[in-house]
Amino acid sequence: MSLQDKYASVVSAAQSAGISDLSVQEQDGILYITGKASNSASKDSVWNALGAIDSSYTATDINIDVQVSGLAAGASLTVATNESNLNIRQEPSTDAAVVGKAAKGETVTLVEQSSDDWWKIKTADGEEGYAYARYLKA
Amino acid sequence: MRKTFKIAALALMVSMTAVSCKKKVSDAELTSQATTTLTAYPGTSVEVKEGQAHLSGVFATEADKQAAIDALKKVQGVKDVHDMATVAPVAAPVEVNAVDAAVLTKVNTALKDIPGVKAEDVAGTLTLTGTTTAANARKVKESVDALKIGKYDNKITVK
Repeated sequence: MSLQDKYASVVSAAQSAGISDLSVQEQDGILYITGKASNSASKDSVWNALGAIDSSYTATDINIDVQVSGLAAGASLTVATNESNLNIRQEPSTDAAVVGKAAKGETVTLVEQSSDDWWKIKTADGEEGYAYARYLKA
Repeated sequence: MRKTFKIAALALMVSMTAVSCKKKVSDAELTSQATTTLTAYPGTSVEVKEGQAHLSGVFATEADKQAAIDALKKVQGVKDVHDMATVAPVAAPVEVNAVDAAVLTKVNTALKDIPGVKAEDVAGTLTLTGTTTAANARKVKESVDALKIGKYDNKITVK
């Protein structure tokens, strides 16, 4: 059974989620699924499809690199931390000083998607800095 | 004399019918036979007209296309193969990143809020160990997969 067959449902989820620049490539025993999602729900639908096959999310013969990208400055984001506040930092690093905090469920504004893992945001109070993208839903 | 004429006319009719019939069946049948040789190559097709096979569609590789042409030439009755098919462009290989300090920093940042999971560089291979929930294991995989480091060792146990 090829990886393309094994993970056919993940590929079709990516296709129906409208992932742009979608590429599906098998290389050295790993199926790479790469593309851009226009919002968090699209990205999540791809990962949910993987969860239906690999409920522990520990498979290493599939690499899903689907990132939410192309968001416009000023886009509204929801803070999606587990419980705690989201740290807003001076630089895109956990070593950088915390310049502000945003509560779970709070709406913040995107300044720019600086990288895949760190986005520059602004709170309603005007605090501006970098937050870890995993905790922001678009 | 009259009888001979009748027989001759009949023979002529039969032979003409036979010729026209044979020709018609021939192209259609050749097309069907030729199409059978292409079953291994989805997205391609062939049509035989007057013994000339016209091959079209997109092949995965040049070797596949050549093999299909050779197979078509072997179909009895096909005089020549006209190659109007193309080969799909080869996708650029996925760029795989080596596990270096920068990658390890990113992985450790990703693991910061996930207690119980540890990342180590074991002889150049990123190795994840520990016990966590499925939701957290998903967060870890989302972050690690984004780094595209190729094969890594995921020994996380999900409770």
